[in-house]
Amino acid sequence: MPALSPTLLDALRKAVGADNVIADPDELLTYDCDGLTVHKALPGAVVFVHSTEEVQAAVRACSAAGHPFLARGAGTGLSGGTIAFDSAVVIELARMNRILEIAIADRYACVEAGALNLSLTKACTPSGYHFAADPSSQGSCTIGGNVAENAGGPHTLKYGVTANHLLGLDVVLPGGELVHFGGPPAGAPGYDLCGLFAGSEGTFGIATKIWVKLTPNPEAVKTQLAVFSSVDAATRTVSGIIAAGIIPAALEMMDQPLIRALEEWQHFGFPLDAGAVLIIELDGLRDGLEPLSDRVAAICREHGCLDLRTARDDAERVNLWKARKQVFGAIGRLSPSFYVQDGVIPRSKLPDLLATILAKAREYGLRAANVAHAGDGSLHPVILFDDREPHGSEKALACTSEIMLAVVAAGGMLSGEHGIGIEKLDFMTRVFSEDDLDAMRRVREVFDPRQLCNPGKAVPARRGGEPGVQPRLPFGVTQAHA
Amino acid sequence: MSSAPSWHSALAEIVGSESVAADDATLEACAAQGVKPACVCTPGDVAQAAAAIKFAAERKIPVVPRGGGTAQGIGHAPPPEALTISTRRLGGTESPAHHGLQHEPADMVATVPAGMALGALQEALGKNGQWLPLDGDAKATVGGLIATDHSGPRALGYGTLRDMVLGMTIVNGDGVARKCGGKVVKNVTGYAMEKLYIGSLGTLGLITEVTVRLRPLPIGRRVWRIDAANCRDCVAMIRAVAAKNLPLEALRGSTTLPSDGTAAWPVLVSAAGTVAELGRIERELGAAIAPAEAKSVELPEGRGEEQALGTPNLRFWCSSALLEPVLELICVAQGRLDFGMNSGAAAFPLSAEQAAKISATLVKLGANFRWENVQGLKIAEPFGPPRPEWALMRQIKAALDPQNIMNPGRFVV
Ligand SMILES: Cc1cc2nc3c(=O)[nH]c(=O)nc-3n(C[C@H](O)[C@H](O)[C@H](O)COP(=O)(O)OP(=O)(O)OC[C@H]3O[C@@H](n4cnc5c(N)ncnc54)[C@H](O)[C@@H]3O)c2cc1C
Ligand SMILES: Cc1cc2nc3c(=O)[nH]c(=O)nc-3n(C[C@H](O)[C@H](O)[C@H](O)COP(=O)(O)OP(=O)(O)OC[C@H]3O[C@@H](n4cnc5c(N)ncnc54)[C@H](O)[C@@H]3O)c2cc1C
Repeated sequence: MPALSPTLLDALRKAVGADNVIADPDELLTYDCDGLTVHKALPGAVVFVHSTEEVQAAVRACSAAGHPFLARGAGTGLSGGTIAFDSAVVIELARMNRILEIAIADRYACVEAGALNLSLTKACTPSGYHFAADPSSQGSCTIGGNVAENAGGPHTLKYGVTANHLLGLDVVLPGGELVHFGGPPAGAPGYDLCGLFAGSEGTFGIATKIWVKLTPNPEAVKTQLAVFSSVDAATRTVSGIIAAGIIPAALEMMDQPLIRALEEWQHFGFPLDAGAVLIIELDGLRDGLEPLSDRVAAICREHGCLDLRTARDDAERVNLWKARKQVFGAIGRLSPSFYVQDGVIPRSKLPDLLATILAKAREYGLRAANVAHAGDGSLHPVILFDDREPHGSEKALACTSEIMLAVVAAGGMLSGEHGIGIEKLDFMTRVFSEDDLDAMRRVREVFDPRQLCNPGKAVPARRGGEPGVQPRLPFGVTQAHA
Repeated sequence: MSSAPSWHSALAEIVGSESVAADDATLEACAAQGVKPACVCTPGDVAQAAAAIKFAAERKIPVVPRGGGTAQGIGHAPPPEALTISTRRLGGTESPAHHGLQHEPADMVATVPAGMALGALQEALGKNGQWLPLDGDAKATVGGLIATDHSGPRALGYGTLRDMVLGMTIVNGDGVARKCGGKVVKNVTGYAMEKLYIGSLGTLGLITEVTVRLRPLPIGRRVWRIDAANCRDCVAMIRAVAAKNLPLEALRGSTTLPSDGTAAWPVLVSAAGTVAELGRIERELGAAIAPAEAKSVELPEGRGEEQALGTPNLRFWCSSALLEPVLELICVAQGRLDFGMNSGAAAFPLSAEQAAKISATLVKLGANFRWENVQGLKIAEPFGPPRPEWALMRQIKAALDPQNIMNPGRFVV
């Protein structure tokens, strides 16, 4: 694919105003990657849009030029979804961040796609509601990005992922037409294109307006920290809680390396000798909480829980969640480089799989740390390595590949949260047949027959390649340098 | 036997003669909206189902998937001379008990053959203290429920099928069996194709197996009835209860309209939980609706709140502000109504003119709606007027059912 043509650059400037287009390589550097920092590509241009009409105009310009383009929210994606290969035009939605409507009587809100996840929850806090999908990145990621990645978070265990809260979408199709999918109200006739769009990683078009459900805040919340001597005891507890038919609001696990890193970084008050901790949050009516909490405590004790601490007030609760949500920030203290993996398994397999992860890391002479939305079986193994050492990153790569295979062998899937992006394209054939993938490709071609909208992401190209889509980088490495 | 289509024996050769029937009694039993198929195939496994659909695709024979046959009144009439593919042997009534059901209680997940009836499924899951949290006809099959996106009144508490389906196997219109989604409760691995098939009314393929997330059976349940004198009071009660944000399973108003206009408008409230939680909910209900009273009542087994409705003719979805006007609009005939904050269903005999007027007004109000079981009325647009996004849907159908054989003409595509 040739570099961005001067004609297209002109057309983009006309579409959104010259002030809203950057094409200077130095300025473009900010946009050469997302949260998956190892793969980089310089966009042909970045376009800042302020309205659906501007998105349409920018898309039409690209489409007329036959030039690839992609949407970008906050760029916190962790699978390389916003990497602009082939000088693609990046359409940046961060300035479309208004909350357009909060309809309490019908329990929904309408936002522009660039609105920050947390800003919606903040806006409806006074009414006693929140947006239930709460990725750890919620302070910085956009709701458009959440929809595109079908983002989850700690509380999706009880409340469901983004798709479960999605009511309707305005989408600019890759040809520039504006369509509406879904509601509100519910019951829109026809296929659930709204549900299909969730998790399509920006390959079906650009969402500009999003209608999501609002969830009432629970009357009472009880947040506990359960301390265990080992990862095994902690994960058996998780399986025990689920098997007992208890669905906590959240059930998160962190192991010793992460606990230590968090403690060194900011003193959160975790016990340094713990092998693993669980954050267990129960919510609901005040009247039901104590008996439920007693049942959970009994299961914890049965599995050798060393200490069960209850957050005494909101400040302690917020502190616990702050620790959990900032854990990636602390990992840099553990190792010069690290690789955050994302996989999801049937939750009864947690103890076995975590044992496998630790064993695999040992085999490669590497250290591993684990943070997991454990109640969902949603794992984020972190492989610690030193890329200055000879073969450091190759070893990490090989190790995480083996972990992915173990996830698949356990009946799991390649991603519970971060998506396929470019990162896991090569693994798709491990879980889907060519026929399965072909159905996805055919649907994709309905939305984007010319493969201009975020090409080369989410679903691997047909064998033998596709016109205009080059085979992409293999399974990559996420690095962060301390 | 005279009625058997020319391709009957060729199909029997491919899938086995025991899987194909074209006798009058079978065809009659599989009639939908008065249209009899040409032939009925009951595949015993996915491979047979795929072979039958491939056979039909090669000859452009229309295919009508059939589960329990309880909802064939949804959508336009099926095409004539069709091949009906029944899921009776895919976990259905002609399969060994619980055949093919994989329940993983520790994961709160089950993989269910599409032909399994909801009643049989709930019974099997109940042995391990779990259930699929929706109401429906016990004879409706899991495949049919998903094809019609059936979610009963308990969607308020548990969500709709879209929130429960994790993955499935489907034989698309090209005769190829495909998997989508997974068996895990959280998944962003490729497109969520399963979402496309929920509510697709058999127009993209035959669902053969489904993985669903389950819930623990409630520890306890209570249902209350609040009596309201008229539509306005009934809607006001629903609003007052809803505003309390209690963890309810269902909140429904209903009425039976007699010819003399003296209808009762009871509100039914259902909640699950511990004795303490249910006691608290009862107190809150009382406070929300005082001086009216919430009386604890027993509901018959099965469909619960919607049971009384029988076969609905009209379903609608609207903003809560429109509930009252919409109810008033459709209260034109003797019949029964059942509704929640944002949706409802009505069962009543009405004339084609009345239906046309209701449709036109619902469109004007911005409500979504669907007419069902109204063959006699010849309603041209049972799903409302065409919408721009239907063009995309038509292309999606063409992509997954290239010969347009799957339930052609029945849906919006
Ligand atoms: C520290 C950290 C913690 C995280 N924690 C979680 C977590 O707990 N759970 C979780 O699920 N994820 C998590 N993530 C991943 C990431 O935050 C989510 O995937 C998020 O949804 C991405 O939003 P974004 O606005 O940054 O999207 P971007 O990174 O800008 O884009 C992601 C993809 O979405 C597409 N896209 C963006 N906007 C649109 C639009 N309007 N229309 C169509 N396509 C669009 C892009 O083209 C790209 O393919 C975390 C990331 C970080 C860095
Ligand atoms: C009293 C009553 C109340 C009801 N209330 C509601 C309600 O509140 N909401 C609601 O949505 N529905 C409602 N229904 C309809 C309900 O959805 C059906 O009972 C059920 O969904 C259909 O299941 P079935 O196996 O009988 O399907 P069938 O009637 O056999 O088929 C229904 C449709 O699905 C297709 N189909 C069937 N099986 C498959 C398959 N395996 N793969 C692909 N396509 C298939 C058929 O071709 C057909 O188009 C109600 C029905 C009754 C009797």
